[in-house]
Amino acid sequence: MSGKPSCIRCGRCLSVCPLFRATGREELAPRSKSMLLEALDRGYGETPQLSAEKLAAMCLGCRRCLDVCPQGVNAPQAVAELRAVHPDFKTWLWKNALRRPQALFPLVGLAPRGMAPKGLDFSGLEPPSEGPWVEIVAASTCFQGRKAVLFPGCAATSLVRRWRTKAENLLAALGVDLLPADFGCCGSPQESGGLLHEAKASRARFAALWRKLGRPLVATICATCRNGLRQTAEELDAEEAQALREAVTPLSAMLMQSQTRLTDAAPERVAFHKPCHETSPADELWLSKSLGDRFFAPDVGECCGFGGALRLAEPDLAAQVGRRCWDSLTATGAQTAVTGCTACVLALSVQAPPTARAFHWLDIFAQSLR
Amino acid sequence: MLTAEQKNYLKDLFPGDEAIFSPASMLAYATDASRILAMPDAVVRPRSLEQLAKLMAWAQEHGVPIHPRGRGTGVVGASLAQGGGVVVSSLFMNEILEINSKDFLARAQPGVVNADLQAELAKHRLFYPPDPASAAISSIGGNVSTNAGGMRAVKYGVTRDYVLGLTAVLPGGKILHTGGRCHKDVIGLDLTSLFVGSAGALGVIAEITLKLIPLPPASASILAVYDNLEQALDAVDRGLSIGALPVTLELMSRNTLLALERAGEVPWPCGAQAALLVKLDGSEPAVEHDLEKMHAALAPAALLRTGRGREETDLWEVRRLINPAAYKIAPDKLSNDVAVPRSKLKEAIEGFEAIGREMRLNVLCFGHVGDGNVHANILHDASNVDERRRALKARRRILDTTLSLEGTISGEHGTGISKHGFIGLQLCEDQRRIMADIKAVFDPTGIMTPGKEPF
Ligand SMILES: Cc1cc2nc3c(=O)[nH]c(=O)nc-3n(C[C@H](O)[C@H](O)[C@H](O)COP(=O)(O)OP(=O)(O)OC[C@H]3O[C@@H](n4cnc5c(N)ncnc54)[C@H](O)[C@@H]3O)c2cc1C
Ligand code: SF4
Ligand code: SF4
Repeated sequence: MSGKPSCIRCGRCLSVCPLFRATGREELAPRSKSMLLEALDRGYGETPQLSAEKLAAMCLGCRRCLDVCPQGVNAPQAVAELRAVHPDFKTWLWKNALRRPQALFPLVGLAPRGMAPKGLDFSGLEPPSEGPWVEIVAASTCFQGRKAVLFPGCAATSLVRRWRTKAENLLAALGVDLLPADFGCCGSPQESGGLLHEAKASRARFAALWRKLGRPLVATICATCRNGLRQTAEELDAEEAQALREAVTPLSAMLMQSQTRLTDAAPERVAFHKPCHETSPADELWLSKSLGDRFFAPDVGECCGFGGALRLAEPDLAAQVGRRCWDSLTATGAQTAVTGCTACVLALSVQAPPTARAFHWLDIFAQSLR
Repeated sequence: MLTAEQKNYLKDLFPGDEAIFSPASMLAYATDASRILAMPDAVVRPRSLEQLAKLMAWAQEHGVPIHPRGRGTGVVGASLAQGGGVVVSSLFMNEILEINSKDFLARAQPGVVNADLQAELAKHRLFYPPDPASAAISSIGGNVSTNAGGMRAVKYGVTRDYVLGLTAVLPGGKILHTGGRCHKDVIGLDLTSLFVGSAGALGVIAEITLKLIPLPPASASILAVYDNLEQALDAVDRGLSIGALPVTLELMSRNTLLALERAGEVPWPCGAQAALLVKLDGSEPAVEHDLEKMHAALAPAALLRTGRGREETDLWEVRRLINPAAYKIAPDKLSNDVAVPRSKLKEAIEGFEAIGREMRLNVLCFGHVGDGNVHANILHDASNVDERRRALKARRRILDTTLSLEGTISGEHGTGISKHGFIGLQLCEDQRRIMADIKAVFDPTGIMTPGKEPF
């Protein structure tokens, strides 16, 4: 059997899809997307094109269905393809991004010239006002002298620049030989927004630059970026792909052997939000090591509901997912959440209950070594 | 087809996202694991008993067919609106209403997912044993309506053994409470049992009271691999005679192992001919004791592997993947979940495999052999006319063989749309007439699941 994997309607994906879990609406589940996309392909049934497309496009791009599907059906990719062929989609995307720019946070830095939204409010993204919670007492020496670059991602490049600075400082403390590089986007947010050509171009640009720099270690500070870079590997030849997979390293993994100390500002309980796109355990391990018994992970990791384009099209739906996520985080007894994805930080911050806060893990560490 | 006026009535009764009429949205409810496609006229998702009662009164008055639906994991199309009508989804009635550790019972709305209930009960060290392989994705309402079996049936029985009572809404709007909170109750005819396995034909179940038992504190599993089917079946006999029933005793035939090998990593050497998966539970010393005896009973085997904790879960995950893995062999399958008396197992499985060979088709035999329930799935390519014809013939022969061995044509999945035509092979005219008369008492005008009655 060959060709596109086909859905066998087994229903395994229903239990993991955050959209279905938050709403109980089966028409939003991945199985329904498979059916709709098949219906659109074959034109069977009485399914009108427009409403089918609209419904099929309701996806957070979290890829959770992919992990459980025995057939390897890739619903988020199919949705992205659907968005891509829709003639008006790009115009719609940018027009709406201007009106509700937070929704496409990582993408805004890439908006076509003259369309970049102004007046973005990132006040929810300040580091903890009480000061850092963790100090690095002695940085790991495992990476001393290694050639490395930082892949900061769109958000840390153009919006929250202190993440980039913080990451560069930490890399300096690790003693790596940091090469200057200007990478741009990892392609992930573009891909899920249906901007397939742009995504491919971003990935190619990254690969070319990485090659030119002599294939250095790539330190990353965002789970979604890592996902994009992994996809880049799929577009390279086998040997280079393997080299890239080995080169892409979470900054947290590089810090892992460092010695840390909690400050007086550290809260009693901190909940870890695992980004859907995360495939490395490094952030979680690093944070649980640094925060000790103040670290809590929810029983069931929920999706933050960021969902890029979906947040534009159906903000209420995305908010429903976000609420469920915060419920699971606060059920640990914590009022603060940390995560390792720039998009998740934003989604969690804008949706935080009145007494709760969310931070990128970089923000809870002291700026420099003592 | 519903008239505009009828749609308006439903819109009023089910405001907001509780009612769906757009074909694109309804498509999700137009199929289940049978892959049959049948578009409903409307889908409603009631939140209350009152809404359900009004719906059922209206449906009877207007002669609108009603098709209850849980999670749509049924494999025979039983929840589909064949011939039109309204699909009544339990997705918005999904609360666990009570867990009572003194009365050893739980009350749940029909939309609660089996695994979610199990997880909640485990927190109270309580146990609801029925666990269809679809436990993580199917609803309690669906499980009750299909009398779902599952892996643990050997020791603990099936869904029917755990339903103490229920609330159902009948055509016309009457709300019927059956059974109660007592683990023993001999007053009246057993209406509760009548609903269990009735496939939605009598009314819509709106609440269920389930019997619980204490959660066994320990468990262990063994994977045993054999050089041929006969050795494996002999081991089944020995395994059932150790003086304690295993929770589960599953068989996987050569073709099944092959399908799983193609689907991913497997814990047995490639090329294995037959395998048994056995699970034991109880107190820690009891498990240790039984494990030793079971080990001895399953030997000699090409491979014997014991799993505990995480490793045990991994052993069982493989079993749960058989259904999807079958599609790695051929694009279509005709599922048969026949059951025979345990003593006829060997004859049955050898018979099914022989039919497969004669008809030049891949027949995948696996299943809950501990209780005589064998899945014999005929893999084929339905787009190939000759192959489809042979597959249909093979199915008929498998059913005939089963009946000749005093078996039943379905041990757990029911008949729905895809097997309705075979009921007459097993039930005689008298039986079917009495069953039809009983249904008519609940549903005099026949609006419940017309054409899919389980008799
Ligand atoms: C991968 C996989 C593995 C499976 N393994 C097993 C197994 O091991 N054992 C087993 O027995 N089955 C198994 N099944 C079949 C299926 O999961 C069961 O039949 C299950 O009980 C159906 O539950 P559901 O919620 O999906 O119900 P649905 O498929 O939605 O409905 C099933 C039937 O119940 C009726 N129904 C649902 N809710 C109500 C209600 N509230 N009131 C009245 N009638 C109602 C429907 O009308 C229909 O007739 C498996 C299926 C899959 C896909
Ligand atoms: S898990 Fe995959 S095959 Fe199963 S219903 Fe979902 S998309 Fe279809
Ligand atoms: S990618 Fe996430 S939101 Fe989209 S269909 Fe899959 S599970 Fe649902």
